[in-house]
Amino acid sequence: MTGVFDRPTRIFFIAVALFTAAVAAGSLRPEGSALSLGTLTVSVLGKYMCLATLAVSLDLVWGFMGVLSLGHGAFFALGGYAFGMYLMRHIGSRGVYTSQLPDFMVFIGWDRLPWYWLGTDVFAYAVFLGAAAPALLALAFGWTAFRSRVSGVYFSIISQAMTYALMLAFFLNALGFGGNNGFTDFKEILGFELAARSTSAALFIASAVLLLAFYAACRAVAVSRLGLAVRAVRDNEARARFAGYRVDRVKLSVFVLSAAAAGLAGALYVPQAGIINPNSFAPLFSIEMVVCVALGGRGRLYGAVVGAFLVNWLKTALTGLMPDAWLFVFGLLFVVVTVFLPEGVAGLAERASGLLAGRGKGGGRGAAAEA
Amino acid sequence: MERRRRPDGFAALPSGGTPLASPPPGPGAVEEGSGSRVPETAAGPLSPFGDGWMPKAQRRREYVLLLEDIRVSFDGFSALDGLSLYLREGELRAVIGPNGAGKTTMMDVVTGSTRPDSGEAWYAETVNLLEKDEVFIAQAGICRKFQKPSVFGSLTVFQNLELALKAPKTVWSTFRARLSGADRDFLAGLLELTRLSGESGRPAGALSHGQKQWLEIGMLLAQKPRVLLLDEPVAGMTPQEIDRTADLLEDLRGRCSVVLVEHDMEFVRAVAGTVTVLHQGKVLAEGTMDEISSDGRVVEAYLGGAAC
Repeated sequence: MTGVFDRPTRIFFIAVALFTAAVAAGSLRPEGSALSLGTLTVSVLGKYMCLATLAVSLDLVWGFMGVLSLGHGAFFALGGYAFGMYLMRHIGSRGVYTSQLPDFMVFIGWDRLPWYWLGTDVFAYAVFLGAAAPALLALAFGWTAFRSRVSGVYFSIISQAMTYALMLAFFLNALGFGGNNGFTDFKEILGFELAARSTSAALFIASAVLLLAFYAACRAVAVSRLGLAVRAVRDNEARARFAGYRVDRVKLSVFVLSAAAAGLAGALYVPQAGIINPNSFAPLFSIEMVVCVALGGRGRLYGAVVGAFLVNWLKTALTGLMPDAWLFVFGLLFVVVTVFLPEGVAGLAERASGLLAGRGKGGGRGAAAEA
Repeated sequence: MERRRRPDGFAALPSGGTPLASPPPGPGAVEEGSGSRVPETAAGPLSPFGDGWMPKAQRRREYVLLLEDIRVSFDGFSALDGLSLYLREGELRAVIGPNGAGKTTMMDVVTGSTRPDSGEAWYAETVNLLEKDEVFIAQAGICRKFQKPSVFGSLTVFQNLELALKAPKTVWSTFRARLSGADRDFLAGLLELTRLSGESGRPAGALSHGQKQWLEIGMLLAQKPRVLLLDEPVAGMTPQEIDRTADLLEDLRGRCSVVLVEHDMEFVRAVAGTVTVLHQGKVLAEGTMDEISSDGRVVEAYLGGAAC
């Protein structure tokens, strides 16, 4: 059995570390000088890192366990909202209404914070909530679904329904999360100005660290016997059960772990994006993440990262040039990946390097599963 | 112990309350003339036993697996209609019967996949199978091979065996599990036994049909079972593979109890001591292969005598 840090993982870690160092260095160089990066660019790259973490969390449940969640964006968004509460609290009286309450609460006539906002001004608690809230949702949702053996396309559909329902709920002003405007206009985090260059660099580094930490955790699961059990569940659920594994608990544990990581990624995403609103719960966002994983090559973890960067870079580029074209390109991408690239870019690369190394048919599924 | 031969060819009847010391086929019978409250069915007074035959608790001690008067119906169709089966420790029992006789349903009941409408099912004296779920039953040592070979295709042969290995199987202990030297030796022995030593590193999905069947049997053995349920293990095997499987079952004799559901009568004749014939959800006959193949009702049940 290979260790947590096998060759592809080492390469991946070194690549991410170098990239992070380069971006951090660029963001700290004086503006206007060569290789200098503006806060906007750094924030965009930091957002990609968070989306990459979300993609890895999706790959863990889909690629490894064969459970296709079309609602993983919900965990990301929930984490984002949880941390967004912290950011809102720290606007303080700098809002439009110069009240200690968030503007939207003043606007709808509330005179105090609802109970679930208690303690959200404490950074550590907000971060904890960023992981715990989505984990709790995943626990409730997964427990219900896996216990009644909802699987395959049925699971995918109800997971999508879940995120859609949450989107509708978060649109309600009465829920106390800002309705359709969500949270925005953040000022500071841990006392640092969000607009400052050093803050964006720090957030970017934190995003990279989160990605690597979660990646290592996924690897630790993948190389353990639990990792075998997870793949066994994907291959043949009944056999796994008759081999003595509580399939529902295996699925639930991995699903909750994945949701917690997705939530933390969302929590880091929000200060860099500067906004969170109910559209983060939109099914389309979750589907985009699925395409990221598929394009990158599922079941490999690093494939999800590659896919997340590719798709989101493409999205940023296209929405800048031709905003209306993105959905068409996205649809086309979906079809192309499904028909021509079932193993994704990473699968293609593996096959190519396999051919170069003269191993011939060594790539494909088997090698992927070993990774 | 007195044994009587019934005209219809059943081996039979341990009498009185004496524990059974005689070789199987012990139980497919009932004491005659003891005034027991056994309903006579068309198939004969096979089950249930009157309480006079052997106290319940003793029956549970006596047999590693016992099914009594199991009834299962699906939407009015009666899949099992008062089935009783008694299996001793170390016994190899073949269960045959035409399609729809209830063989697979019987396995489903034993493994906890199907809950019967009525009846009793006990394992290892204390385990009430009707109250336990599939995972508990599997961990307790009743291991089942499916009709269709089912292995984990993307895992290697060795990983398949490792995963099946008897061990604490909670999520956390599975995450922490490491193979000990003894485990490795044990798994190497299983690879040897199933003739898969050379395939250890190959994905199980790439094995031949026969090899998959073998791997699945190996996985069951890795669970260190007390009762093996084999659903058509030699289906689709070449004659050589069938011979090897017969050798394997011979190896297992005395080490664990085996319930073998099989259509291949040659194979059954080669390996099984006692054969139980199911028909329409109940036991039609029980005895050696020779006895049951000369049983008119068995021949009739198979319509044209595929059994012979």
